[in-house]
Amino acid sequence: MFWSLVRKDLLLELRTKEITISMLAFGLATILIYALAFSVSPAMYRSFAPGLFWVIILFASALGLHRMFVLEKEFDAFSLSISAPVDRGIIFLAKWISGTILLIISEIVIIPPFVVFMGLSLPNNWLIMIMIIIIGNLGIMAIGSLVSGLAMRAKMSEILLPILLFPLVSPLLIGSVKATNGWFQGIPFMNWQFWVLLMITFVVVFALLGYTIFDHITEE
Amino acid sequence: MQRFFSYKINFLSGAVVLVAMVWNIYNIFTNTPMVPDQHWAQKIFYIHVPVAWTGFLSYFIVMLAGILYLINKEQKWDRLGLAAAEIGTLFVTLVLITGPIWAKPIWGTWWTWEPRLTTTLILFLIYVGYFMLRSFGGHPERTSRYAAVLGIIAFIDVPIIFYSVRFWEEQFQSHPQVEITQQIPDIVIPFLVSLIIFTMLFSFMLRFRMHVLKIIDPRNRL
Amino acid sequence: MLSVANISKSFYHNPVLKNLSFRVDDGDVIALTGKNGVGKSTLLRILARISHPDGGTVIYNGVDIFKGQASARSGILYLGHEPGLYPSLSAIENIEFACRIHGNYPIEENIITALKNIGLSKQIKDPIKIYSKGMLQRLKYALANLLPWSMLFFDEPFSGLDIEGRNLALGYLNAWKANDRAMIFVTHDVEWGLSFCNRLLLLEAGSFKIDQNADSIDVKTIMSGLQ
Repeated sequence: MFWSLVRKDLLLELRTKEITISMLAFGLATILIYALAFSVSPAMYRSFAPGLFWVIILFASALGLHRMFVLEKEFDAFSLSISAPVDRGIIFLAKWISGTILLIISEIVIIPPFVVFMGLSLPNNWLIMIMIIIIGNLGIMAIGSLVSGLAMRAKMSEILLPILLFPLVSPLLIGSVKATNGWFQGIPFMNWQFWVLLMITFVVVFALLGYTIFDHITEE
Repeated sequence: MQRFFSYKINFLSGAVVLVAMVWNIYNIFTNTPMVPDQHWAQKIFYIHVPVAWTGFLSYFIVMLAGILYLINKEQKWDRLGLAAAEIGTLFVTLVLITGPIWAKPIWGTWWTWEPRLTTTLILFLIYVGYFMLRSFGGHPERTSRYAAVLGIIAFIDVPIIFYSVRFWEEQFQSHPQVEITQQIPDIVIPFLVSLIIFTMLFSFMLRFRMHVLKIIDPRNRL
Repeated sequence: MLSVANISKSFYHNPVLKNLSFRVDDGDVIALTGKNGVGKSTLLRILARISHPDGGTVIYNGVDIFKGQASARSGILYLGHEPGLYPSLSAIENIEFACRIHGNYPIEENIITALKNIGLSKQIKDPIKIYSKGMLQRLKYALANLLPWSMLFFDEPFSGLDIEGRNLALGYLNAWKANDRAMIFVTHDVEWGLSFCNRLLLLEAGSFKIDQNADSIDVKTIMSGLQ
């Protein structure tokens, strides 16, 4: 059931390409704006890069999440999923995972120009950074799917979504930026493992909460 | 529907809270010792901390009311949640005002990203979203349910927010914050008294607001 | 078997449904009618667990649908007023997904046959957003024919259908009726409702003004009630 839902989300994205295109186009435009607005010294970029990166990802996610739930509202398609004998928690988990997959796909396009335009030289141990990004994405999409569920039927949902999302996601943002910075500056893992643990805690807490509570926010 | 103050018990408790609060403020200004390097600025501590405590207590009540509302869908839990959210936000706003008033003379700056203050600010912003969801979420029968969920999410986020900002910028840890348990009794006792009086004020306000919400609810006019 | 007790629902504090109670037994075919905005679709959406009632219970096969496991609702199929499918997916993809989340995994040929039977053979690989209202309506019949539901909630079964489509639809409906499955239709076509269904519910001001066996009611009384 879970995979049918994820498969549907990915198939929908394959047909429309709305979510990834909007996320990565927005990401690229923001990189350009950053490069123009902060055309200072390379050292500046170096210290700002982790923060800038996660701000781009967070803003792009808000856009993508909104699109994702708009697709469910068209033709009243969401009623198909929620009237089916499927646990609403599973619907949440599917939205969470497919959202994360789409975000990762956009990031694959966003990251190279980010590194090039900011003139960054990266450390070699890539695997750790990929892990940080995946955990960060899982966190954003866990709380993001929950908040989108709350906002999707509201008036001005496109405004309500980021207003609710940004303060709620702030601990994850701090953790992601700190961890990215630790990797980027080549600081030993011991010194910033706290932040990775905090991110994992965030992911686990909101994935579980979403699984339990999504039932109450899917109905009209 | 009866007016709130037409109940004797409400009138009495209102009078008690009023007298206690006036006495409390008088007591803070006249009967507490001057702390050597802080002078008058330190007095705000007797207000700031109890106000912060009541703010967080209200948000905790929002979460409890949310859980109860989701379980049995009784209107009173929705009213409790809304009333606690409103009063909590009022108190949290006061925290965000009194914090800088104290910080300016002591730390020389209006705002620092001190963990407790930062957590309070983030919670305040979440509750801005909470009230927007209440107003723009659609028909009230649905927003009650959604607000209950948001109240739960918000409070569960509190410890994570606190730990993240606590270890966020290490330099903010060096501020002179003497724990209350290490203070002299001349400070601790008026502080605890103030804490109790603010909690009394809060419970009175909560009862009052719930009563008003019950009166203005169109469902009760039918 | 479905038993509904004391369902109430308000929008913006205006009560739409007031303490509704009724029972649907196996083999019941019910026409639910009433004026616009009287809450027929809302009632159907509550029974399908899409909309949340302010109070009351809906028991399906002994399980409260709002409290029990989601799997306890299997056997219920809801076909709404709107298409309820994804505009960007093709007919085949939509039907396949809809079957899957109802716990069925049909092979593609079966889906194509089902679509053909309802008169859809062209454009079945195109996104359904280019479909007309009648074609979208036919998709619902194809879906309902593929699933082994035991209780169907159908909002406006003939909406948008042409004469050919209506005849095909009637063929399906008769076949389902012969299978002894329970069905509730929201319809304004009272004459069809009285001839096809064995029970009629007339919703007015939040409660059932009429709840009778179809053969014991005269069309005129219903029509006058609707004016």
